[in-house]
Amino acid sequence: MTEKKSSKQKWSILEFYEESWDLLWKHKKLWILGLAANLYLAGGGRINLPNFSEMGDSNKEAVQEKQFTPEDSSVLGSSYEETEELGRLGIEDIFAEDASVDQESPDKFKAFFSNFENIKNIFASVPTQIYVLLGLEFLAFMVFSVILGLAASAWAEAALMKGISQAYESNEVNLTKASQFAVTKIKSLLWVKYIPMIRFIILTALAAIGIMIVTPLLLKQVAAAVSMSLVIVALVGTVAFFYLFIRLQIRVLYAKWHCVIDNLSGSDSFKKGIATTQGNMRKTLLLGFLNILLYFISALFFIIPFVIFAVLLGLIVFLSGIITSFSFAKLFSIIPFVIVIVALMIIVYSLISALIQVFMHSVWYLAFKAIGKK
Amino acid sequence: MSLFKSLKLVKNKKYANFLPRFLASLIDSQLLNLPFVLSIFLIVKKDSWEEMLAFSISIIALVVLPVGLLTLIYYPFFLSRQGKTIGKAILGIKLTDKNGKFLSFRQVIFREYICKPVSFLLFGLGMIAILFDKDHQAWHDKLSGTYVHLEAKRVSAGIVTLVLLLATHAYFIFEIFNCCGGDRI
Repeated sequence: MTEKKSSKQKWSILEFYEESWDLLWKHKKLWILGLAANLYLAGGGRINLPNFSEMGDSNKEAVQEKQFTPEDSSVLGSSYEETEELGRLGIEDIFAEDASVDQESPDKFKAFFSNFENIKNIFASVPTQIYVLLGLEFLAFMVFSVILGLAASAWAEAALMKGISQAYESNEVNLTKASQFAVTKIKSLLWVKYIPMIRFIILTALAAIGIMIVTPLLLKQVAAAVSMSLVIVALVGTVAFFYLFIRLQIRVLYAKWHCVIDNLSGSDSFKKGIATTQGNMRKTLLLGFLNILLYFISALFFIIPFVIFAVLLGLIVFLSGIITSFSFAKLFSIIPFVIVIVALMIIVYSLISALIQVFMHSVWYLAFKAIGKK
Repeated sequence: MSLFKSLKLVKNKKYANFLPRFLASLIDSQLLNLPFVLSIFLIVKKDSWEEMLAFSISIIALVVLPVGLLTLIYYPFFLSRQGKTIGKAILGIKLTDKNGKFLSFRQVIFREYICKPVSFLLFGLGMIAILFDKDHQAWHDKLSGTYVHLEAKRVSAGIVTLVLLLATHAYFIFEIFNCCGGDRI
Protein backbone atom coordinates (compact mmCIF):
# COMPACT_ATOMS: atom_id res chain seq x y z
CA MET A 1 0.00 0.00 0.00
CA THR A 2 2.72 2.42 1.05
CA GLU A 3 4.92 1.29 -1.81
CA LYS A 4 2.12 1.94 -4.25
CA LYS A 5 1.63 5.41 -2.84
CA SER A 6 5.30 6.35 -2.94
CA SER A 7 5.79 5.21 -6.52
CA LYS A 8 2.91 7.38 -7.69
CA GLN A 9 3.88 10.27 -5.43
CA LYS A 10 2.67 13.70 -6.56
CA TRP A 11 3.71 17.03 -5.13
CA SER A 12 1.05 17.55 -2.49
CA ILE A 13 2.30 19.01 0.75
CA LEU A 14 -0.79 17.93 2.65
CA GLU A 15 -0.27 14.34 1.54
CA PHE A 16 3.38 14.51 2.54
CA TYR A 17 2.36 15.50 6.05
CA GLU A 18 -0.41 12.92 6.22
CA GLU A 19 1.81 10.05 5.08
CA SER A 20 4.64 11.12 7.35
CA TRP A 21 2.27 11.17 10.31
CA ASP A 22 1.13 7.62 9.49
CA LEU A 23 4.71 6.45 9.08
CA LEU A 24 5.63 7.91 12.45
CA TRP A 25 3.16 5.70 14.29
CA LYS A 26 3.43 2.66 12.07
CA HIS A 27 7.20 2.20 12.24
CA LYS A 28 8.26 2.79 15.81
CA LYS A 29 11.72 1.41 15.09
CA LEU A 30 12.34 4.68 13.31
CA TRP A 31 12.09 6.38 16.68
CA ILE A 32 15.44 4.84 17.61
CA LEU A 33 17.00 6.33 14.48
CA GLY A 34 15.21 9.59 15.29
CA LEU A 35 16.73 9.55 18.76
CA ALA A 36 20.18 8.99 17.25
CA ALA A 37 19.62 11.79 14.73
CA ASN A 38 18.41 14.09 17.47
CA LEU A 39 21.43 13.24 19.61
CA TYR A 40 24.03 13.83 16.91
CA LEU A 41 22.40 16.33 14.55
CA ALA A 42 21.18 18.68 17.26
CA GLY A 43 24.71 18.97 18.55
CA GLY A 44 26.38 18.39 15.17
CA GLY A 45 29.50 20.42 14.65
CA ARG A 46 28.96 22.26 17.90
CA ILE A 47 31.80 21.91 20.35
CA ASN A 48 30.45 22.38 23.83
CA LEU A 49 32.95 24.72 25.33
CA PRO A 50 32.34 25.77 28.91
CA ASN A 51 30.54 29.07 29.39
CA PHE A 52 33.42 31.26 30.42
CA SER A 53 31.26 34.22 31.38
CA GLU A 54 29.31 32.06 33.83
CA MET A 55 32.49 30.53 35.03
CA GLY A 56 33.76 33.99 35.80
CA ASP A 57 30.65 34.74 37.82
CA SER A 58 30.91 31.57 39.84
CA ASN A 59 34.57 32.26 40.48
CA LYS A 60 33.68 35.70 41.70
CA GLU A 61 31.16 34.23 44.11
CA ALA A 62 33.66 31.67 45.25
CA VAL A 63 36.24 34.37 45.92
CA GLN A 64 33.70 36.50 47.70
CA GLU A 65 32.57 33.64 49.92
CA LYS A 66 36.03 32.34 50.68
CA GLN A 67 37.23 33.08 54.18
CA PHE A 68 40.97 32.78 54.48
CA THR A 69 42.52 31.05 57.43
CA PRO A 70 45.95 31.64 58.95
CA GLU A 71 47.15 28.40 57.31
CA ASP A 72 46.19 29.66 53.85
CA SER A 73 48.03 32.90 54.26
CA SER A 74 51.19 31.27 55.51
CA VAL A 75 51.16 28.95 52.51
CA LEU A 76 50.67 31.79 50.09
CA GLY A 77 53.35 33.88 51.70
CA SER A 78 51.47 36.87 53.02
CA SER A 79 50.48 37.90 56.52
CA TYR A 80 47.20 36.61 57.94
CA GLU A 81 45.90 40.15 58.42
CA GLU A 82 46.53 40.98 54.78
CA THR A 83 44.88 37.81 53.55
CA GLU A 84 41.91 38.13 55.89
CA GLU A 85 41.38 41.65 54.57
CA LEU A 86 41.51 40.27 51.05
CA GLY A 87 39.02 37.52 51.88
CA ARG A 88 36.48 40.04 53.12
CA LEU A 89 37.13 42.33 50.20
CA GLY A 90 35.81 40.32 47.26
CA ILE A 91 37.00 40.54 43.68
CA GLU A 92 34.61 43.27 42.59
CA ASP A 93 35.76 45.55 45.38
CA ILE A 94 39.35 45.01 44.37
CA PHE A 95 38.64 46.01 40.81
CA ALA A 96 36.27 48.82 41.81
CA GLU A 97 37.04 52.41 40.88
CA ASP A 98 40.79 52.82 40.79
CA ALA A 99 40.84 56.13 42.58
CA SER A 100 39.11 54.88 45.71
CA VAL A 101 41.30 51.79 45.84
CA ASP A 102 44.46 53.79 45.39
CA GLN A 103 43.57 56.33 48.02
CA GLU A 104 41.92 54.19 50.66
CA SER A 105 43.62 50.84 50.62
CA PRO A 106 46.75 50.39 48.55
CA ASP A 107 47.71 47.48 50.84
CA LYS A 108 44.69 45.44 49.73
CA PHE A 109 45.84 45.75 46.18
CA LYS A 110 49.37 44.76 47.06
CA ALA A 111 48.17 41.76 49.05
CA PHE A 112 46.10 40.51 46.16
CA PHE A 113 48.96 40.78 43.70
CA SER A 114 51.52 39.26 46.04
CA ASN A 115 49.27 36.16 46.29
CA PHE A 116 48.75 36.22 42.56
CA GLU A 117 52.53 36.30 42.12
CA ASN A 118 52.86 33.24 44.35
CA ILE A 119 50.36 31.27 42.27
CA LYS A 120 52.21 32.40 39.14
CA ASN A 121 55.45 31.12 40.66
CA ILE A 122 53.88 27.72 41.33
CA PHE A 123 52.82 27.42 37.70
CA ALA A 124 56.28 28.56 36.60
CA SER A 125 57.88 25.81 38.70
CA VAL A 126 56.26 23.13 36.53
CA PRO A 127 58.63 22.10 33.69
CA THR A 128 57.74 23.43 30.20
CA GLN A 129 57.68 19.88 28.79
CA ILE A 130 54.67 19.12 30.98
CA TYR A 131 52.75 22.01 29.41
CA VAL A 132 53.75 20.86 25.93
CA LEU A 133 52.54 17.36 26.77
CA LEU A 134 49.27 18.75 28.16
CA GLY A 135 48.72 20.74 24.97
CA LEU A 136 49.38 17.71 22.77
CA GLU A 137 47.04 15.53 24.81
CA PHE A 138 44.24 18.09 24.70
CA LEU A 139 44.81 18.39 20.95
CA ALA A 140 44.54 14.61 20.57
CA PHE A 141 41.25 14.61 22.50
CA MET A 142 39.92 17.50 20.42
CA VAL A 143 40.85 15.84 17.11
CA PHE A 144 39.31 12.54 18.23
CA SER A 145 36.06 14.18 19.38
CA VAL A 146 35.72 16.36 16.25
CA ILE A 147 36.26 13.40 13.91
CA LEU A 148 33.88 11.26 15.95
CA GLY A 149 31.27 14.04 16.07
CA LEU A 150 31.36 14.56 12.31
CA ALA A 151 31.18 10.83 11.59
CA ALA A 152 28.35 10.37 14.10
CA SER A 153 26.26 13.20 12.64
CA ALA A 154 26.66 11.86 9.08
CA TRP A 155 25.91 8.30 10.19
CA ALA A 156 22.80 9.29 12.18
CA GLU A 157 21.36 11.28 9.29
CA ALA A 158 22.12 8.60 6.69
CA ALA A 159 20.69 5.87 8.93
CA LEU A 160 17.45 7.80 9.45
CA MET A 161 17.16 8.50 5.71
CA LYS A 162 17.76 4.85 4.87
CA GLY A 163 15.33 3.72 7.56
CA ILE A 164 12.60 5.97 6.15
CA SER A 165 13.32 4.74 2.65
CA GLN A 166 13.07 1.10 3.88
CA ALA A 167 9.76 1.87 5.55
CA TYR A 168 8.27 3.31 2.37
CA GLU A 169 9.80 0.85 -0.07
CA SER A 170 9.55 -2.48 1.75
CA ASN A 171 7.20 -1.60 4.60
CA GLU A 172 9.76 -2.85 7.12
CA VAL A 173 12.58 -1.13 8.98
CA ASN A 174 15.76 -3.10 9.59
CA LEU A 175 17.90 -1.16 12.04
CA THR A 176 21.06 -3.16 11.40
CA LYS A 177 20.84 -2.84 7.62
CA ALA A 178 20.00 0.87 7.77
CA SER A 179 22.86 1.52 10.18
CA GLN A 180 25.41 -0.62 8.31
CA PHE A 181 24.49 1.09 5.05
CA ALA A 182 24.81 4.49 6.72
CA VAL A 183 28.36 3.64 7.77
CA THR A 184 29.34 3.24 4.12
CA LYS A 185 27.86 6.67 3.31
CA ILE A 186 29.65 8.65 6.04
CA LYS A 187 32.41 10.01 3.78
CA SER A 188 30.09 10.86 0.88
CA LEU A 189 27.58 12.56 3.13
CA LEU A 190 30.30 14.58 4.84
CA TRP A 191 31.54 15.65 1.40
CA VAL A 192 28.04 16.78 0.40
CA LYS A 193 27.45 18.59 3.68
CA TYR A 194 30.73 20.46 3.94
CA ILE A 195 32.70 20.71 0.69
CA PRO A 196 30.17 22.79 -1.32
CA MET A 197 29.70 25.03 1.71
CA ILE A 198 33.46 25.52 2.14
CA ARG A 199 33.79 26.28 -1.57
CA PHE A 200 30.92 28.78 -1.34
CA ILE A 201 32.48 30.53 1.66
CA ILE A 202 35.87 30.76 -0.06
CA LEU A 203 34.33 32.07 -3.30
CA THR A 204 32.16 34.59 -1.44
CA ALA A 205 35.14 35.81 0.56
CA LEU A 206 37.22 36.17 -2.63
CA ALA A 207 34.35 38.01 -4.38
CA ALA A 208 33.91 40.34 -1.39
CA ILE A 209 37.64 41.10 -1.30
CA GLY A 210 37.63 41.69 -5.08
CA ILE A 211 34.69 44.10 -4.87
CA MET A 212 36.30 45.94 -1.95
CA ILE A 213 39.46 46.44 -4.00
CA VAL A 214 37.89 47.20 -7.39
CA THR A 215 35.01 49.47 -6.32
CA PRO A 216 37.13 52.29 -4.81
CA LEU A 217 39.47 52.17 -7.82
CA LEU A 218 36.56 52.57 -10.26
CA LEU A 219 34.83 55.19 -8.17
CA LYS A 220 37.89 57.42 -8.02
CA GLN A 221 37.04 58.61 -11.50
CA VAL A 222 33.40 59.38 -10.56
CA ALA A 223 33.82 60.85 -7.09
CA ALA A 224 30.25 62.17 -6.79
CA ALA A 225 28.72 58.72 -6.97
CA VAL A 226 30.99 57.16 -4.36
CA SER A 227 28.65 56.74 -1.37
CA MET A 228 25.54 55.96 -3.44
CA SER A 229 27.32 53.29 -5.45
CA LEU A 230 28.78 51.69 -2.34
CA VAL A 231 25.31 51.39 -0.80
CA ILE A 232 23.95 49.80 -3.99
CA VAL A 233 26.90 47.38 -4.21
CA ALA A 234 26.43 46.40 -0.56
CA LEU A 235 22.69 45.85 -1.01
CA VAL A 236 23.04 43.84 -4.22
CA GLY A 237 25.88 41.84 -2.66
CA THR A 238 23.83 40.98 0.43
CA VAL A 239 20.76 39.95 -1.59
CA ALA A 240 22.93 37.89 -3.95
CA PHE A 241 24.67 36.24 -0.99
CA PHE A 242 21.41 35.18 0.65
CA TYR A 243 19.90 33.98 -2.65
CA LEU A 244 22.97 31.88 -3.47
CA PHE A 245 23.18 30.60 0.09
CA ILE A 246 19.54 29.41 0.09
CA ARG A 247 19.99 27.85 -3.36
CA LEU A 248 23.06 26.01 -2.13
CA GLN A 249 21.19 24.76 0.92
CA ILE A 250 18.42 23.32 -1.26
CA ARG A 251 20.97 21.69 -3.56
CA VAL A 252 22.71 20.14 -0.56
CA LEU A 253 19.36 18.97 0.81
CA TYR A 254 18.50 17.03 -2.34
CA ALA A 255 22.11 15.93 -2.81
CA LYS A 256 22.01 14.23 0.60
CA TRP A 257 18.96 12.21 -0.47
CA HIS A 258 20.63 11.30 -3.78
CA CYS A 259 23.69 10.22 -1.83
CA VAL A 260 21.70 7.85 0.43
CA ILE A 261 18.79 6.72 -1.73
CA ASP A 262 20.63 6.45 -5.07
CA ASN A 263 23.84 5.33 -3.35
CA LEU A 264 26.00 7.92 -5.16
CA SER A 265 29.37 9.38 -4.26
CA GLY A 266 29.62 12.85 -2.74
CA SER A 267 30.43 14.79 -5.89
CA ASP A 268 27.99 12.81 -8.06
CA SER A 269 25.15 13.33 -5.64
CA PHE A 270 25.88 17.07 -5.51
CA LYS A 271 25.69 17.22 -9.30
CA LYS A 272 22.38 15.35 -9.15
CA GLY A 273 21.25 17.73 -6.42
CA ILE A 274 21.88 20.69 -8.73
CA ALA A 275 19.80 19.04 -11.45
CA THR A 276 16.98 18.20 -9.03
CA THR A 277 16.84 21.76 -7.72
CA GLN A 278 16.34 23.25 -11.20
CA GLY A 279 12.70 24.22 -11.67
CA ASN A 280 11.82 23.13 -8.15
CA MET A 281 13.21 26.00 -6.14
CA ARG A 282 9.89 27.70 -5.37
CA LYS A 283 7.97 24.62 -4.24
CA THR A 284 10.95 23.45 -2.17
CA LEU A 285 11.20 26.89 -0.57
CA LEU A 286 7.48 26.79 0.22
CA LEU A 287 7.80 23.34 1.78
CA GLY A 288 10.84 24.48 3.75
CA PHE A 289 8.95 27.52 4.98
CA LEU A 290 5.95 25.40 6.02
CA ASN A 291 8.26 22.93 7.76
CA ILE A 292 9.84 25.74 9.75
CA LEU A 293 6.36 27.03 10.64
CA LEU A 294 5.30 23.54 11.66
CA TYR A 295 8.45 23.18 13.72
CA PHE A 296 7.56 26.30 15.68
CA ILE A 297 3.97 25.12 16.12
CA SER A 298 5.21 21.76 17.33
CA ALA A 299 7.28 23.69 19.88
CA LEU A 300 3.92 24.17 21.58
CA PHE A 301 4.00 20.47 22.33
CA PHE A 302 7.14 21.22 24.28
CA ILE A 303 5.35 23.89 26.27
CA ILE A 304 2.27 21.79 27.18
CA PRO A 305 4.20 19.07 29.06
CA PHE A 306 6.36 21.76 30.62
CA VAL A 307 3.24 23.52 31.98
CA ILE A 308 1.85 20.21 33.27
CA PHE A 309 5.13 19.38 34.98
CA ALA A 310 5.43 22.89 36.43
CA VAL A 311 1.89 22.66 37.84
CA LEU A 312 2.70 19.22 39.30
CA LEU A 313 5.88 20.57 40.86
CA GLY A 314 4.00 23.56 42.26
CA LEU A 315 1.36 21.24 43.74
CA ILE A 316 4.00 19.07 45.39
CA VAL A 317 5.75 22.11 46.87
CA PHE A 318 2.41 23.56 48.01
CA LEU A 319 1.14 20.32 49.53
CA SER A 320 4.42 19.65 51.32
CA GLY A 321 3.88 22.90 53.23
CA ILE A 322 7.35 24.24 52.47
CA ILE A 323 6.05 27.71 51.65
CA THR A 324 4.09 28.12 54.86
CA SER A 325 6.71 26.66 57.21
CA PHE A 326 10.14 25.99 55.75
CA SER A 327 12.24 23.12 57.03
CA PHE A 328 15.08 21.14 55.50
CA ALA A 329 13.33 17.87 56.36
CA LYS A 330 10.37 18.89 54.19
CA LEU A 331 12.68 20.08 51.44
CA PHE A 332 14.46 16.72 51.35
CA SER A 333 11.17 14.85 51.37
CA ILE A 334 10.11 16.39 48.03
CA ILE A 335 13.47 15.82 46.30
CA PRO A 336 12.48 12.33 44.99
CA PHE A 337 9.33 13.76 43.41
CA VAL A 338 11.31 16.56 41.79
CA ILE A 339 13.81 14.02 40.41
CA VAL A 340 10.97 11.91 38.97
CA ILE A 341 9.36 14.95 37.33
CA VAL A 342 12.65 16.19 35.84
CA ALA A 343 13.37 12.66 34.56
CA LEU A 344 9.93 12.50 32.97
CA MET A 345 10.51 15.88 31.32
CA ILE A 346 13.82 14.72 29.87
CA ILE A 347 12.17 11.58 28.48
CA VAL A 348 9.25 13.51 26.98
CA TYR A 349 11.47 16.16 25.40
CA SER A 350 13.92 13.64 23.93
CA LEU A 351 11.09 11.61 22.50
CA ILE A 352 9.25 14.59 20.98
CA SER A 353 12.49 15.85 19.42
CA ALA A 354 13.16 12.40 17.98
CA LEU A 355 9.64 12.21 16.52
CA ILE A 356 10.05 15.63 14.92
CA GLN A 357 13.31 14.44 13.32
CA VAL A 358 11.58 11.38 11.85
CA PHE A 359 8.58 13.38 10.68
CA MET A 360 10.62 16.12 8.98
CA HIS A 361 12.95 13.65 7.28
CA SER A 362 9.95 11.68 6.06
CA VAL A 363 8.38 14.83 4.58
CA TRP A 364 11.59 15.59 2.70
CA TYR A 365 11.85 12.00 1.51
CA LEU A 366 8.37 12.23 -0.01
CA ALA A 367 9.20 15.59 -1.56
CA PHE A 368 12.40 14.15 -3.01
CA LYS A 369 10.52 11.18 -4.44
CA ALA A 370 7.81 13.42 -5.89
CA ILE A 371 10.39 15.53 -7.71
CA GLY A 372 12.26 12.44 -8.88
CA LYS A 373 9.10 10.92 -10.38
CA LYS A 374 8.21 14.04 -12.33
CA MET B 1 6.55 -3.00 14.36
CA SER B 2 7.27 -2.04 17.92
CA LEU B 3 10.44 -1.12 19.73
CA PHE B 4 10.16 -4.29 21.77
CA LYS B 5 8.51 -7.20 19.99
CA SER B 6 6.75 -8.07 23.22
CA LEU B 7 7.18 -6.94 26.77
CA LYS B 8 7.90 -10.49 27.90
CA LEU B 9 11.25 -11.30 29.45
CA VAL B 10 13.19 -13.53 27.08
CA LYS B 11 15.71 -16.25 27.94
CA ASN B 12 18.24 -17.24 25.32
CA LYS B 13 21.12 -19.33 26.60
CA LYS B 14 23.32 -18.63 23.59
CA TYR B 15 23.54 -14.89 24.22
CA ALA B 16 24.39 -12.96 27.37
CA ASN B 17 21.50 -11.39 29.25
CA PHE B 18 21.40 -8.06 31.06
CA LEU B 19 23.06 -9.04 34.37
CA PRO B 20 26.39 -10.45 33.12
CA ARG B 21 26.69 -7.62 30.60
CA PHE B 22 25.92 -5.02 33.24
CA LEU B 23 28.45 -6.53 35.67
CA ALA B 24 31.10 -6.72 32.94
CA SER B 25 30.67 -3.07 32.05
CA LEU B 26 30.79 -2.09 35.73
CA ILE B 27 34.04 -4.01 36.20
CA ASP B 28 35.57 -2.35 33.13
CA SER B 29 34.52 1.11 34.20
CA GLN B 30 35.81 0.57 37.76
CA LEU B 31 39.13 -0.67 36.37
CA LEU B 32 39.43 2.37 34.13
CA ASN B 33 38.49 4.72 36.98
CA LEU B 34 41.14 3.37 39.30
CA PRO B 35 44.07 5.46 37.93
CA PHE B 36 41.97 8.63 38.31
CA VAL B 37 41.10 7.89 41.94
CA LEU B 38 44.73 6.97 42.58
CA SER B 39 45.84 10.29 41.04
CA ILE B 40 43.56 12.30 43.34
CA PHE B 41 44.83 10.24 46.26
CA LEU B 42 48.45 11.04 45.38
CA ILE B 43 47.61 14.74 44.93
CA VAL B 44 45.89 15.16 48.29
CA LYS B 45 48.76 13.35 50.01
CA LYS B 46 51.02 16.36 49.35
CA ASP B 47 51.90 18.56 52.31
CA SER B 48 51.05 22.03 51.04
CA TRP B 49 48.73 23.72 48.57
CA GLU B 50 51.70 24.85 46.49
CA GLU B 51 52.96 21.29 46.12
CA MET B 52 49.46 20.00 45.41
CA LEU B 53 48.87 22.54 42.67
CA ALA B 54 52.21 21.93 40.96
CA PHE B 55 51.89 18.16 41.35
CA SER B 56 48.31 18.05 40.01
CA ILE B 57 49.41 19.74 36.76
CA SER B 58 52.07 17.07 36.29
CA ILE B 59 49.63 14.30 37.26
CA ILE B 60 47.07 15.52 34.73
CA ALA B 61 49.70 15.55 31.98
CA LEU B 62 51.43 12.29 32.93
CA VAL B 63 48.58 10.13 34.25
CA VAL B 64 45.05 11.48 33.85
CA LEU B 65 45.08 12.45 30.17
CA PRO B 66 47.25 9.54 28.94
CA VAL B 67 44.98 7.12 30.83
CA GLY B 68 41.98 8.93 29.31
CA LEU B 69 43.46 8.37 25.86
CA LEU B 70 44.20 4.73 26.72
CA THR B 71 40.61 4.36 27.86
CA LEU B 72 39.49 5.36 24.36
CA ILE B 73 41.67 2.58 22.95
CA TYR B 74 40.89 0.03 25.70
CA TYR B 75 37.62 -1.22 24.22
CA PRO B 76 38.67 -1.26 20.53
CA PHE B 77 41.99 -2.93 21.38
CA PHE B 78 40.60 -5.78 23.48
CA LEU B 79 37.32 -6.30 21.64
CA SER B 80 38.91 -6.40 18.20
CA ARG B 81 41.60 -8.87 19.29
CA GLN B 82 39.77 -11.25 21.60
CA GLY B 83 36.14 -10.17 21.50
CA LYS B 84 36.28 -9.48 25.20
CA THR B 85 37.50 -6.88 27.64
CA ILE B 86 38.76 -7.78 31.11
CA GLY B 87 35.24 -7.44 32.50
CA LYS B 88 33.72 -9.55 29.74
CA ALA B 89 36.43 -12.20 30.17
CA ILE B 90 35.67 -12.49 33.90
CA LEU B 91 31.94 -12.83 33.19
CA GLY B 92 32.55 -15.33 30.34
CA ILE B 93 31.00 -13.28 27.56
CA LYS B 94 32.26 -12.53 24.06
CA LEU B 95 31.39 -9.97 21.40
CA THR B 96 31.17 -10.93 17.73
CA ASP B 97 29.42 -9.92 14.54
CA LYS B 98 26.55 -11.96 13.06
CA ASN B 99 29.03 -14.43 11.49
CA GLY B 100 30.70 -15.10 14.82
CA LYS B 101 33.85 -13.16 13.87
CA PHE B 102 35.58 -10.55 16.01
CA LEU B 103 34.90 -6.95 15.06
CA SER B 104 37.55 -4.76 13.48
CA PHE B 105 39.11 -1.83 15.38
CA ARG B 106 36.89 0.64 13.48
CA GLN B 107 33.75 -1.41 14.05
CA VAL B 108 34.38 -1.40 17.79
CA ILE B 109 34.90 2.37 17.78
CA PHE B 110 31.62 2.70 15.89
CA ARG B 111 29.80 0.43 18.35
CA GLU B 112 31.28 1.89 21.53
CA TYR B 113 31.42 5.60 20.77
CA ILE B 114 28.67 6.21 18.22
CA CYS B 115 26.02 3.55 18.76
CA LYS B 116 26.29 3.03 22.52
CA PRO B 117 25.31 6.60 23.52
CA VAL B 118 21.99 6.00 21.70
CA SER B 119 21.25 3.11 24.07
CA PHE B 120 21.78 5.36 27.07
CA LEU B 121 19.11 7.80 25.89
CA LEU B 122 15.76 7.84 27.71
CA PHE B 123 17.53 6.63 30.85
CA GLY B 124 19.06 3.55 29.29
CA LEU B 125 15.95 2.26 27.54
CA GLY B 126 18.16 0.77 24.83
CA MET B 127 20.01 -1.25 27.48
CA ILE B 128 16.79 -2.47 29.06
CA ALA B 129 15.86 -3.77 25.60
CA ILE B 130 18.38 -6.59 26.26
CA LEU B 131 15.84 -8.19 28.60
CA PHE B 132 13.10 -8.33 25.97
CA ASP B 133 15.04 -9.05 22.79
CA LYS B 134 15.15 -12.65 21.55
CA ASP B 135 18.92 -12.41 20.95
CA HIS B 136 19.49 -10.18 23.99
CA GLN B 137 20.60 -7.36 21.74
CA ALA B 138 20.66 -3.79 23.03
CA TRP B 139 19.87 -0.95 20.63
CA HIS B 140 23.57 -0.40 20.02
CA ASP B 141 23.99 -4.08 19.17
CA LYS B 142 21.20 -3.81 16.61
CA LEU B 143 22.70 -0.64 15.14
CA SER B 144 26.19 -2.12 14.92
CA GLY B 145 25.06 -5.65 14.05
CA THR B 146 26.78 -7.30 16.99
CA TYR B 147 25.96 -10.18 19.33
CA VAL B 148 27.20 -10.83 22.86
CA HIS B 149 27.68 -14.58 23.34
CA LEU B 150 27.52 -16.33 26.68
CA GLU B 151 30.48 -18.73 26.90
CA ALA B 152 30.26 -19.59 30.58
CA LYS B 153 28.09 -18.60 33.53
CA ARG B 154 30.38 -16.66 35.86
CA VAL B 155 28.10 -14.16 37.54
CA SER B 156 29.46 -14.98 41.02
CA ALA B 157 33.05 -14.42 39.87
CA GLY B 158 31.93 -11.08 38.45
CA ILE B 159 30.26 -10.06 41.69
CA VAL B 160 33.39 -10.95 43.73
CA THR B 161 35.64 -8.97 41.36
CA LEU B 162 33.29 -6.01 41.42
CA VAL B 163 33.13 -6.03 45.23
CA LEU B 164 36.94 -6.12 45.41
CA LEU B 165 37.21 -3.22 42.97
CA LEU B 166 34.57 -1.22 44.80
CA ALA B 167 36.35 -1.87 48.09
CA THR B 168 39.62 -0.59 46.58
CA HIS B 169 37.82 2.51 45.36
CA ALA B 170 36.15 2.99 48.73
CA TYR B 171 39.53 2.76 50.49
CA PHE B 172 41.08 5.46 48.29
CA ILE B 173 38.02 7.70 48.48
CA PHE B 174 37.99 7.33 52.27
CA GLU B 175 41.69 8.27 52.37
CA ILE B 176 41.05 11.26 50.09
CA PHE B 177 38.30 12.55 52.37
CA ASN B 178 40.51 11.88 55.35
CA CYS B 179 43.26 14.05 53.85
CA CYS B 180 40.81 16.77 52.79
CA GLY B 181 39.12 16.75 56.18
CA GLY B 182 42.45 17.39 57.90
CA ASP B 183 44.17 20.68 58.66
CA ARG B 184 44.58 21.88 55.12
CA ILE B 185 40.97 22.87 54.44
